[in-house]
Amino acid sequence: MAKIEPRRGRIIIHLLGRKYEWTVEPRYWRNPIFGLIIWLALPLLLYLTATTVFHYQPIALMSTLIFANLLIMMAVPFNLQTIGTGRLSFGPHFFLAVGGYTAALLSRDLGLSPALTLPAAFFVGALIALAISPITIISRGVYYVLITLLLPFILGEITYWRSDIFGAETGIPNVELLFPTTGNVTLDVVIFVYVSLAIALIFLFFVDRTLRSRYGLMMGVINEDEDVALSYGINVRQIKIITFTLTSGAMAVCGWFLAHYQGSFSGPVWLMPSFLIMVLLTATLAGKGAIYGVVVSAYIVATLREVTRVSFGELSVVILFLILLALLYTLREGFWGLYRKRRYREYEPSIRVRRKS
Amino acid sequence: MKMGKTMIGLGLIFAIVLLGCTETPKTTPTPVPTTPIETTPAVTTVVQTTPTTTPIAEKTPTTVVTTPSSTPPSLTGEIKVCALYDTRIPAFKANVEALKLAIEEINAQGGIMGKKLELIHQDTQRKVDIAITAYRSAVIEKGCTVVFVEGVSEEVMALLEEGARIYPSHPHIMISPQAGMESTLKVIEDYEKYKFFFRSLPSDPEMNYKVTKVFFDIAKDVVRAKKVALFLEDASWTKCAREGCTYNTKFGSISSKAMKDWVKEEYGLDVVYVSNLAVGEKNFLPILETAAARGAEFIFVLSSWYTDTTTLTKQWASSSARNIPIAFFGGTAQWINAWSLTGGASLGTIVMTYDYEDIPLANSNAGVIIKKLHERGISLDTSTHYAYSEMLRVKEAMEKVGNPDDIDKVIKAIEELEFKNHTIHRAEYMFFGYQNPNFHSYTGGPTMIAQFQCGGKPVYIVPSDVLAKGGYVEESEKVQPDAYKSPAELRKTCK
Repeated sequence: MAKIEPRRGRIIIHLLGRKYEWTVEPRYWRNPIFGLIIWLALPLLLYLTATTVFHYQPIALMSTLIFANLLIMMAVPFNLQTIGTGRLSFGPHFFLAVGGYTAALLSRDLGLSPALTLPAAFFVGALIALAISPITIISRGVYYVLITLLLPFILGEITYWRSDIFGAETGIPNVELLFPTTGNVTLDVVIFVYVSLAIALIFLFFVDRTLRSRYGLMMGVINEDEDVALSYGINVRQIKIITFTLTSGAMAVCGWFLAHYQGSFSGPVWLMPSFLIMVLLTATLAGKGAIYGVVVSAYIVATLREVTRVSFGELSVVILFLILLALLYTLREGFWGLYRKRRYREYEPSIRVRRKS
Repeated sequence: MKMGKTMIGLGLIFAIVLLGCTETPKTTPTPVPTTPIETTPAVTTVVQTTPTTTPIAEKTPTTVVTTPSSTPPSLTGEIKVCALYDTRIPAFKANVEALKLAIEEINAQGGIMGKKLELIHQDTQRKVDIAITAYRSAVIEKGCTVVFVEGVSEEVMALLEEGARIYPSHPHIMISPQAGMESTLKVIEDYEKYKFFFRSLPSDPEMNYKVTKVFFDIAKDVVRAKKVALFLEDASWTKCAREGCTYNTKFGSISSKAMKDWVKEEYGLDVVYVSNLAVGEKNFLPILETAAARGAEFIFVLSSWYTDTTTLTKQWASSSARNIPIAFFGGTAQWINAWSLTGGASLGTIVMTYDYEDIPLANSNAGVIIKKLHERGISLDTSTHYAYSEMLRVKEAMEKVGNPDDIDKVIKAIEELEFKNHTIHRAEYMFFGYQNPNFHSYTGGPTMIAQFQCGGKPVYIVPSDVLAKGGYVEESEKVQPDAYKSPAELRKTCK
């Protein structure tokens, strides 16, 4: 059974043959807990404020939160993929479309429930990723970028070529919704907010655990220098293939969510570069490899997109990207850098040279 | 602690910014129907509406509701009309301007039964997720009971599902010139769920056959061509033209052969070349050269806004196909402004256009509307007319019902209304209540086709008998098919 072993500054818990550690000192766990509580409470807080104080149904606001969660669902595995493969992919939305089409086709044509289309979307996404994963080994630089950039375009063309299967721009209608309606549309949307938040949280948890594990350490070495990683005896190929496969499967889950959230799925919409840009901006503005920064970044990007859309009319996209460009320029370490620079870790490495006076 | 403060601060900023940017609507209670009205069309006999065989007269509704002559009672308040369009796209901007014009005119006449109309534009950025957000906001937050949506299939298909969820608590009407039969099929197959949707375009088989066949009347009887080339946009809405299609519904079947087949069978024209135009394609020279090499004497381009017809026109004018008459179905080619956009390269092209102030239509209001929108710097395609006209139709329906808030009854009235004030089409082609596969859609019929002649002046060259047969008798007397000139001849004579 459980055995608790107090140690200096931490508690060791032995449970079912495994060892868990809890650091007693609050500075190690207080902030993440607070962050998590705020994240979980935010949608409900906004909903209640809008309905009780402002007396309106905040459905556009809730929809924006869903988009923010979608960005997190994409950017978190994307960050892990970038670290684990040492390559910058320009095709994460390809796997979203793969997952979306898998879920939509299985739901419409075979009548499978969302519970069954979820593993199917993941496995089809992961399987396709496995098949093309050698690109993470044989190509790098501009070649890798081009290959990953071409994949969405190829799929986009296929959707038009085989419009009898994929429905081209019309997409695949009649996809079963994730849950039956409650009768209150706003409440339905709030539930979708929490479903998307839960998926984002699960992704965040797995990526966090991975990065804290020895595999995370090996991924970091691969990201820094593959030759050094090889000299350490790290199986670079294996880690790259596994990372690429699993993170792509996770991105396919985003497609699954979209199909069952919207009740239809149209690939060309998501295969456009505009969505890729949003994912890349979210990941970059988060901070280098900063998976928690993705949460902040995604909510700010999604909020800015909605605020500019409502406020600036035809100029909204221009204004949005100008703001994001300014943020890219001014936040050299991303949003997470704002937090890190107040911590004990080194924020911007610098060398001080003492001069003799 | 600083971290905690930062996170709380960020959360509060989100809340303030997001709440601040959302308009708080007035707390007018939305009427919720307590007793569902039985509105399922009572059909016992399946209606066969194979495009080639169904005469218009047979489709004319037996129960026709006309605009009431007596003045309806005056109500107070306002009716909110939402327009979900990406106005960066000129065609969509034109739709919004047309709606503005219609609403201005309706308000100038006292509104709908005393209720003024308010137009609220929401930007979609042509993205599905934004369109969903805007749609939810339009109906639930802003209280719009009439929603016009841009004709983008991927958006409309997602909004249909959203609308079905919203309708029971927030009844509203959605109108869109969306090409894609799937939306109409939804209304037919699950009427109670999707009855709020009206499609201001014909069903796909009719769009690809009945609306386009007039071009081949021109090819055969005006141009005197014997060999034709077909350039077909590779999109879902052209499937019927590319491959042929059949749709079986509970209101009967509708089908269309592939264009290459019916053009040969019905018109005796040899189809020497068929090319699918990839969406976004910019290099048309290879297919133009091939069409010329195969001896085509007429080129027909079936395209929407997805295809850059301006570039296609310019490349046609500089290719070996430049002397082959080329006819355009859609895109910027529908504008009179195509002349200046192409730098005069459109000389001799044949286009479906409703953008000419002196267009020979029976409805004299059409030219007035075109002129008014031109004064606002707007070029018109067919969907611009549809937006304007559909707003008028909604007004008539609401006045017929006598209560603009009773959306169930307004929908029923729209289905029964013989709408005679459409700016460009006759009532029988605009009727939404046919209990056939065109239910809640337009019906295909002949259109006004012109040739750009000297100085970019459009000369309408539709064969008179085709228009007369389609019911456009007055128009048939005004068109000038004999005035057609070959592109080569026009280049020689126009200075």
